Amino acid sequence: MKLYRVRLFFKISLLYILCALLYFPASAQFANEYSPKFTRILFLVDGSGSMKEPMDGSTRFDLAKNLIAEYLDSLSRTSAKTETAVRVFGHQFHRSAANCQDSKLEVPFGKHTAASVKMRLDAITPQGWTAIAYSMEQAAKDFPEQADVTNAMVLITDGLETCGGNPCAIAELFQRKKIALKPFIIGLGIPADKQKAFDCVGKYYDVTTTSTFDAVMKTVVTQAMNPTTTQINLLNAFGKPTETDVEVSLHDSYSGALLYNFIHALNGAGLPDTLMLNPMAKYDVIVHSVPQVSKNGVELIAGTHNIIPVEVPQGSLKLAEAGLYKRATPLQCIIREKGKREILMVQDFGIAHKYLTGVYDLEILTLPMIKMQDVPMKQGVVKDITVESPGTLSITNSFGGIASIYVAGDGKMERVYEFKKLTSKEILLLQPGKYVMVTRLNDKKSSVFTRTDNFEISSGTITALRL
Amino acid sequence: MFYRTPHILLFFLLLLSISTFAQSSKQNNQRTRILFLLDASGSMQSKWGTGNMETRWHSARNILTEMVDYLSQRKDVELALRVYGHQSMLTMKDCKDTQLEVGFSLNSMSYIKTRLQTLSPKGVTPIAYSLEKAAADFPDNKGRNIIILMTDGEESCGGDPCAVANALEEKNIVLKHFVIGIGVEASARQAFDCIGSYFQAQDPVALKNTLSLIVNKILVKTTAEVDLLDGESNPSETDVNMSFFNLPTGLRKYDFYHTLNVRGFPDTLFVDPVSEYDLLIHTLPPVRKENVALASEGHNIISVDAAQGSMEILLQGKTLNNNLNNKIKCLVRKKDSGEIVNVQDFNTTEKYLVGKYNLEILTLPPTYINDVDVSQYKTTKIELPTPGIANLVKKYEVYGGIFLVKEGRLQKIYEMNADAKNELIALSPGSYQLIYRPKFSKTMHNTKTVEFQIVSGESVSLNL
Repeated sequence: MKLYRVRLFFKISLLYILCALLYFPASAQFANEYSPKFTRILFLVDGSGSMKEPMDGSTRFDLAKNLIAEYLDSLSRTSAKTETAVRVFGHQFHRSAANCQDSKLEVPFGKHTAASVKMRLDAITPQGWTAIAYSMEQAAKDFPEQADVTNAMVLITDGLETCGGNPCAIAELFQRKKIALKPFIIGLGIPADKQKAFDCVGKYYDVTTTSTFDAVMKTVVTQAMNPTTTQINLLNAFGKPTETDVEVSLHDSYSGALLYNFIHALNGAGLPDTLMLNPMAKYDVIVHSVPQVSKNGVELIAGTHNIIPVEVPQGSLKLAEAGLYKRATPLQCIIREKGKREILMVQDFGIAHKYLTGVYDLEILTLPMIKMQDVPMKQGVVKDITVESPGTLSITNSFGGIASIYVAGDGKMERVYEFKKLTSKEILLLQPGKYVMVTRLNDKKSSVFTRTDNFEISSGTITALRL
Repeated sequence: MFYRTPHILLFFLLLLSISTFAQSSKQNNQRTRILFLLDASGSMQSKWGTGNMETRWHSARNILTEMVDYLSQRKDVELALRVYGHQSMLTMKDCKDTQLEVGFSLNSMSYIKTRLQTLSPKGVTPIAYSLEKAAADFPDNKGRNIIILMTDGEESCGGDPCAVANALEEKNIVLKHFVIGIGVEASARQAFDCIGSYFQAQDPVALKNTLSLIVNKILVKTTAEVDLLDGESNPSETDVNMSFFNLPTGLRKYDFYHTLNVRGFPDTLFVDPVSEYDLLIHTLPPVRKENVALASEGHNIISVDAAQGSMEILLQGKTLNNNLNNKIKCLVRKKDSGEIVNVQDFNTTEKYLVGKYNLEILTLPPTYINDVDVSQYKTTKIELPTPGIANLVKKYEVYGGIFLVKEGRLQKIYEMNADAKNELIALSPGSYQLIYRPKFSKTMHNTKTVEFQIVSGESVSLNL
């Protein structure tokens, strides 16, 4: 008989677990996680007059042309899911024309572009101005709108913007609209002090030879083609990623749109889950600890595993009442961050909650109120606050009247409670301690008949006053 | 005119009856005990007054004898005499030379008169030590115990008479110390001021007048009323307790629930005039009036600004769960200081001093109402919709919380109890998100988000 019951219990438990598994399919990723199908790379090539300067035995422009051609050649021999395009600027009008809109998509995106790129670039003579910002803006439109593609732009130039545009602003636009990864800039003979101007545009590479160019292109391809994974580490006070089970939300930094929200988890190996995030975007991470912690403007490195560390060192606060008295409505405690006015949390007695490490001010809504200042919350420590259980004051009288209860002493007299209209029987819960009750009964309604009763309340007992 | 007479008569009758009671309870029960502490140090032999006709000692002795004669008619007064410096010569520097010559008793008055005739001044001035000893001279501390110190010089034994006097008052042994400086320089005032109320007598006439003045102050019946003024300076505020703290000890001496008599005026209080008081009027927030001195004669009116209005806090709508609603308390803070004045329950009305308040209401999420105006005679109504209830029914224990979307961002307003099976949560009307994940799950991908609406006075069941 007993055995049967155990089995039944086991069966039912198993059923529950199965149901749970069905209910929560172990999906590897969220529906809207980022999984690109292929890659597009746009080469934005400087065709301004200075590109005619000699470099490495030929001109800078020829060097650029050869580097691109060789790369496209090698690409065509692989099965990489990549499309390429070439846009050139400063090549259609002479310097003297000062044309700042001299920018043209010479070869649109396609799979095998090596031959046409070579042909188009051969026909170009560098001659005009360096309209980088304008060209980048135009290039943004060269990428077809498609969600599951990682776009990259490689800017090859020998100088700074000469048309007064702001390439940095356009780079930000790329990120804001998730058009492409942060641009890769290949500088041809740009003096070191001027290279800094590209810091806000993207990653700068100083290239002089074919081998360095190949290395850069390898980086570009790796970043564009390899999956980008991300994990969020919630660090404790000692920098260890052991905090978990707290809600996290991820927003697009620019639009503010809520992209993902989830409750952080650690797997059996103590590692957090991996998220596939679009590397072309910028993120705000909010960890909904109490109080919450935000990390804004998080950028990812494409094609790699990113770890976003967020410091959420926590301790917990356990509130309890001594004794066996059971209230119909649980006792409450208001918790505020030290020095802040806002209510952080109203915690019921009888349970524990986690808080960030730090210092808090507590107001416990007993009668009288218990105020506790500078309560420290420490990493991994359960702060136990136990208040004495209340006693009961019972007042009986036959006349009705007005009565108030005070904590008195040392020149002070603090009002705890007032019965505006005493009924024949009043019950009040008070914390243990000494009190004074001042009463004026209705049968002798005059100040001089004010009566004063001193009484003491002890935990869990009834103090009866007969007036 | 004549039809009014009965009312006025009635009023006087009533007033009479009340004061009779008050005297019987407050005054007659309280015997007044006066201990004369008389200086008989060597210097009391100096002559003073016009033409330097008599010694300070003779003057003091004669004036005190007259006073004892006068007081012998009073049945509610007991006297005692302690003298210092009269047993040992000055050269002996006897700092313990103090003696209760006549103790408190029914016939003490005649003993005092005869004893005074036999003493003569000789020695040092051990005031502090004498006060210390005087503590034991009073049979109990239930009466009005008063010490009148008559001295012609400061402490000469290195004691601290001020500390001793304060200790006696704080321990409620002595109600009040009076000090008469006999022919003392004006500069000595500071040394005596801290012992008690200090009076200076430069000649025998002044000494006599001063002693009568003090005794009158002690014995006269003093009445007082406290006018709690409204915004128009009318004494219309009432029904609030008032605590009187004795100065300088800070001991609470009286509590009176302020009452308006049948004519609608503040009724009469009987307050001991020998002390000064700090008054604490227990309005919300309390009002303090410091250093209230009462004139011995006549009726004292103490005016305190205490204009009040009311604030009523209401939950509007159907109540689903009283216990949950009872958790909604309202913290009332003074706008300027931020201090918590009161924690008001819902569906109650409370009076507050007129002014601006900031409210923190423990709804979920908390409701903040700033700059709430409480004005004279008016009731400021604060109405909130009754909360709705989210009933979380869990198949398994979960981690998670209830969120609010504020400016596009999630804001956690409630953290679920990961150990509880089911939870009932009272929420203000609005839309919320419940975000949770089973406790047993080891991946965040099992997180679920449920949007739900809360309507005032309605319950929503959420099956997790």
